[in-house]
Amino acid sequence: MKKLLAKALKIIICLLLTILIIFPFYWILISSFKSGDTILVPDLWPVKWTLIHYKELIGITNYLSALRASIIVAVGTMIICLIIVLLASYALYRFDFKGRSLFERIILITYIFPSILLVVPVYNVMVKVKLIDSPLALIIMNVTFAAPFCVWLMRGFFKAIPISLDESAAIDGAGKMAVLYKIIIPILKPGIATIVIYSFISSWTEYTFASILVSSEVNKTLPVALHAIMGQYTVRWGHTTAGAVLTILPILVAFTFIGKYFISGLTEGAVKE
Amino acid sequence: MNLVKHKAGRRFSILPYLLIAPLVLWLILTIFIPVINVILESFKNTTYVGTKGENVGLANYKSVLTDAAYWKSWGKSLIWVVGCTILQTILGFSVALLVRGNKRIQKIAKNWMIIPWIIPTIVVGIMWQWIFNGSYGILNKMLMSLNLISKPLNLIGGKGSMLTLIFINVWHWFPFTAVILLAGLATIPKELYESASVDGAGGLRKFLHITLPGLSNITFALGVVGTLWCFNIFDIIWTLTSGGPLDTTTTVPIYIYRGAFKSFKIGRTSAASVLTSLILLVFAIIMIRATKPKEE
Repeated sequence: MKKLLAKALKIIICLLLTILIIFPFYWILISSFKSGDTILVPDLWPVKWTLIHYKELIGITNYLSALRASIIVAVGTMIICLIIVLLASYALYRFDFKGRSLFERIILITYIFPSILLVVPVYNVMVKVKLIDSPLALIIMNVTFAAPFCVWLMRGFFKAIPISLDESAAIDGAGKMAVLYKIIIPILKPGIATIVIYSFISSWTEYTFASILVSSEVNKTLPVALHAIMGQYTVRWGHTTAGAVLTILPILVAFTFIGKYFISGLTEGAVKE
Repeated sequence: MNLVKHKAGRRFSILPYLLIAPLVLWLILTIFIPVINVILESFKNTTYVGTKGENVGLANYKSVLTDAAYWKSWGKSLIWVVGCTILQTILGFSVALLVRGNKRIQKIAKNWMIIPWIIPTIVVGIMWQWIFNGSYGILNKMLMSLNLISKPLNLIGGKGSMLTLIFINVWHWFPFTAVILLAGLATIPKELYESASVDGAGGLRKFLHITLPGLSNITFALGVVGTLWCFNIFDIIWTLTSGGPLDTTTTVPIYIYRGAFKSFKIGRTSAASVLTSLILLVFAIIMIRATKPKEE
């Protein structure tokens, strides 16, 4: 009896937690399909469905331009991250060289460094080098904040590839770079997926630097544009909820495909440190 | 390739340095140059960005150190970090321990639970603003129809804003904590629990003597990294309350952002950034010393 009760309690808590996680998603999704006159009525199911908010979001707000800006910044961040992280983690986790642990430490410091302390000087420096209000400024900073964490995530993936594979390739005459291209990168696909998804997501969600480094409408990314849509005197909840849905959609789609690699990278890195 | 004899039998190769150079240079350019800039600016009376300030010596530091608002923002940050960390850990632990028994549920939870953590903060803000809103949010409507409250609660923008923000942030972050904890728990050998059961240890004793010590390898990830990341959180507060009402949610990041981009005191805010970095550095060193896993 006692055991049964404990099990029932466990199931109830699990359910409550699931609702806690899922409800906010459900609620903005459902709300975004409600017509303008019923959206403020908290019905759990729309009385009549409409796509008007999505049409208006695309037609009259700057959603599409923000989407374009976000894609440019996120893809740029992702490509640069992938290249420099692969090279750096190959060096860190496959070579024994003087200063290795010093470099590792520099990288570690960067990813725990609170970025808010950099907003003022980064703004200053970007003004000086005339990169202010350019997507490039955002790409540069997003790489800075994503790359160190990606290197950390790669640790577990590199450890999982037996060094004997590298060595046997070396005996066959492959150079160190050939080992990277021909042996490591093909096996490292889950690790590459992890870098891709983390750098993309961290760029896609970045608000702080995006809110100060770019100012013209065409360069504003989705989080900044959404904040502007939401921050007007009368919040247009139709646009806001529809915009929120469309902003998280690409992330959820990407995560569905490569999320499990990302999770394994995250947990490997955390446990081994 | 340029190979030079290095140490006994170990060949010196330039290759690893070339491989790591792009990342290290990138970090130097984007972090160390701004850090130098912020230190230099902290001795000047620069106001707007782009204008030139004059040297004022330590005046900015004096001004920040004697500013009650700066220390008040530290108080708020402390409440923020402690509140978020404790709630996140409790919730993360509960989830991790709850799903651990069942392999299938654990797998689903591990792969999908993280979703709140990966969505943009602004969307998190929108979701909860929409639920908590005082005049038409579903939460107030529900509580009122259940007769639990007689008039709507002003959860965002009212007196209890800090608590609401902590709740929202915990919702955003506890999945991350739970996933890391699950990974840490998985490294504890099952035999330890079995032999403890044979010895007649109860659930609580097993938790205190096996689970907690077994997690020491992730306390760094959660303790140091988690705390500094939590301190750094700016966007959820800024987009929901902008530090208000009456500065009740003005944490250090809000204080700094506002000083630079709303009050346009670049020099003074630079001094605040430098001081804040120093305080955090001391904290980080203490935490790293305290939580570092013992070298084997």
